[in-house]
Amino acid sequence: MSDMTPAAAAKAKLARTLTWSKTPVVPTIVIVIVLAFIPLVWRNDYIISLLVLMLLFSLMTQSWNLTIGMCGIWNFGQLAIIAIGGYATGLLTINLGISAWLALPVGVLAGGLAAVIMVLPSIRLRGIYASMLTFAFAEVVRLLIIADSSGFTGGPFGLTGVKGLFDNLSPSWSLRAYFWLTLVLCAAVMLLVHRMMNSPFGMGLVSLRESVRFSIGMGINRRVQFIMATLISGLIAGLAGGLYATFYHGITPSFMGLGPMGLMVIMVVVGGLGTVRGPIIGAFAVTILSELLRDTVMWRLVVQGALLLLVLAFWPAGIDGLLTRSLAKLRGWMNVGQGEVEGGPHVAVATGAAPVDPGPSLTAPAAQASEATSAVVAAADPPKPTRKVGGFKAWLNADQPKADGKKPRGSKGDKKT
Amino acid sequence: METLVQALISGLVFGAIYAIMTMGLTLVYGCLRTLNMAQGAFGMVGGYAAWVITTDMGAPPIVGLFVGALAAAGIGILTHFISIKPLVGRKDIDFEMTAYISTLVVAIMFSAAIILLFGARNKAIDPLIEGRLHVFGTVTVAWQQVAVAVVAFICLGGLSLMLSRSRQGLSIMAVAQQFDAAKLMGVPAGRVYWVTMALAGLLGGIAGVLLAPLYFVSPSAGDLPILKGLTVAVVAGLGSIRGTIYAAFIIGLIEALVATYVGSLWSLPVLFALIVVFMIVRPYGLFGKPEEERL
Repeated sequence: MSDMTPAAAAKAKLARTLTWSKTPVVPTIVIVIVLAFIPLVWRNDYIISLLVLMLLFSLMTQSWNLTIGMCGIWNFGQLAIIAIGGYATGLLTINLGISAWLALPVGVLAGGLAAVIMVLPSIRLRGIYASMLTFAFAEVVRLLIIADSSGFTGGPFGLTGVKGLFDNLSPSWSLRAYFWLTLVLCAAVMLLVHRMMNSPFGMGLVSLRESVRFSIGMGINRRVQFIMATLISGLIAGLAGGLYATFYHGITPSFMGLGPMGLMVIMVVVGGLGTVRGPIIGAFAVTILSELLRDTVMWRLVVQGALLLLVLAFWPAGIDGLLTRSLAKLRGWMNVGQGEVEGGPHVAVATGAAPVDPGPSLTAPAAQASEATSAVVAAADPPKPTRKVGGFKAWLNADQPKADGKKPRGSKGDKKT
Repeated sequence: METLVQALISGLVFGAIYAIMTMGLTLVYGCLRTLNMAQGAFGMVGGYAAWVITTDMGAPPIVGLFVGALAAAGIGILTHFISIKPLVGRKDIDFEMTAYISTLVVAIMFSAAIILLFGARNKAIDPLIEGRLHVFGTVTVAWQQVAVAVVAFICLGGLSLMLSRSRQGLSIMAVAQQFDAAKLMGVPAGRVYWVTMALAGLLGGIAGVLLAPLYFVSPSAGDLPILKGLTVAVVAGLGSIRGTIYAAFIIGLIEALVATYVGSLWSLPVLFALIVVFMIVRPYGLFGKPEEERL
């Protein structure tokens, strides 16, 4: 910290107090490099194709989570966006005969454009209305493709004969190349989303999700924020769709049906809605579960649905939330001996629990802050407890709860009646 | 002229079905604040129950209608207890979104379970009444469609009587309008919840059995009705009973006219485009209240 300029240190401190975290670039690269050795060590083509499928699902869930989880846009038409990306890529390689490498970027752009077109009319709408509009959009896209009898999109039987990205390699090497490509893209997208969500732009999205009135009052431009987020989500979706179509050399309209949609919902919610890691964890967990249930194909959806209902009932934050909570608890236990009070404000924030009475825990952040942020700004800056305001993590300045136990202004969200 | 009359008649018939279909959605949304995505699955289950009773066991179609409706009502109660009740009153979740997701997944689970039980093939089911009614000229109406309209109107009338006269219906309206006040007046909110879901299941089941002879009974038979139901509910404004009836007939007529004059392939896309425009003009529907007011 010694070679930091005061401005940079102040910025770092601000980022910490806003609970931004640094994008874990180096650990991710290390993990990617380690994972990249899997297909060289484990020479089972079936397993590798399964891993590619998981990575593709991770891209899809990541793109969907960006709108539904991060921004709270009730977007239930994401599969249509993914399929549009896939169809655009596939149709270009089939009809124009161009290489899949040239068609893929067009598919990506098509996905972004379609997402913006779909979400644009629903930005103004309240949750459920937006969900219906996007759901209807997806159904219309699906029904139009099914009803198309001209042979352009292949109608209900789907598109076949899409060129692959690695057609000149042998099948098993092409599979491995797909694995490496999707692995790198998946990691890059994850880093991008993480970086985005830990920036003023991402904080704006989260605050819009938690309380629209509060955010507009703070001067956040809802329209621009939502369109940007949707565009990025659509680009990722188009990428996932294009990769899917080239990997399987085709795509069918049943890809947009209720079944795959349910699968995506299960993945995102089981993994953890609105987190960066959640969709990836969910995609892997649910795909592994379906593989375990491979012998009883028809029971799959029933079992997965039951899993989702259980998760919703007992751990609504999903696997990621469960991990975060256990980690926070562990940290709390380990710090008990060092003067840290268990259940202090940091634990409360991590678990998403109701704000704790700041009385007994005031000492905890004091101890922590004095060692962590003593350097530059902390001198005239006594530590304050973190409290949830409308579900929005805030570091309140003068707004300590009154002795008479009056709730602070704005602590009740305006979402519920 | 005759094509126009034909289109208007079929628009009215479909409007009546959409009305009872969407009324289930409206009641559940007004009372439980849940957009029940399983409403289409109720109809699908009702259709299968009617198929089992009439085709497998040889009962007359009217018995099939009753059995289908009752089976769907049972499924409605089941849906409430497995997917909505565990979420009610929780502070750590966004109830509307979570309930939407859980009912959607329940709908998918029902489809999967039906495939397990009956297989994926379409099943044909006999209409309530065979034959066609000749109105004038070349205009004819299938008796089934007449029966559909009659049953639908009986249902709507019975529902409005129930909601305005009976103790149970009044308690549903009370919970929908003011939850806290209703509870303070001694309305058993827990029971009202599952009764509402049973009612929604009943309506969905009747709609499913009525639609079954016109289309087929299949595991995905609930998908199109729920899409139409959602469209009607959006146009009506969620939770508005009066709006639901108007919107159902408006959408039924638009759809029939577009199908007749433009082609049935275009009826859904045109409808969707109209609704997008409509939502931009009136973001909360025909009779919806701008903010959080109910029914």
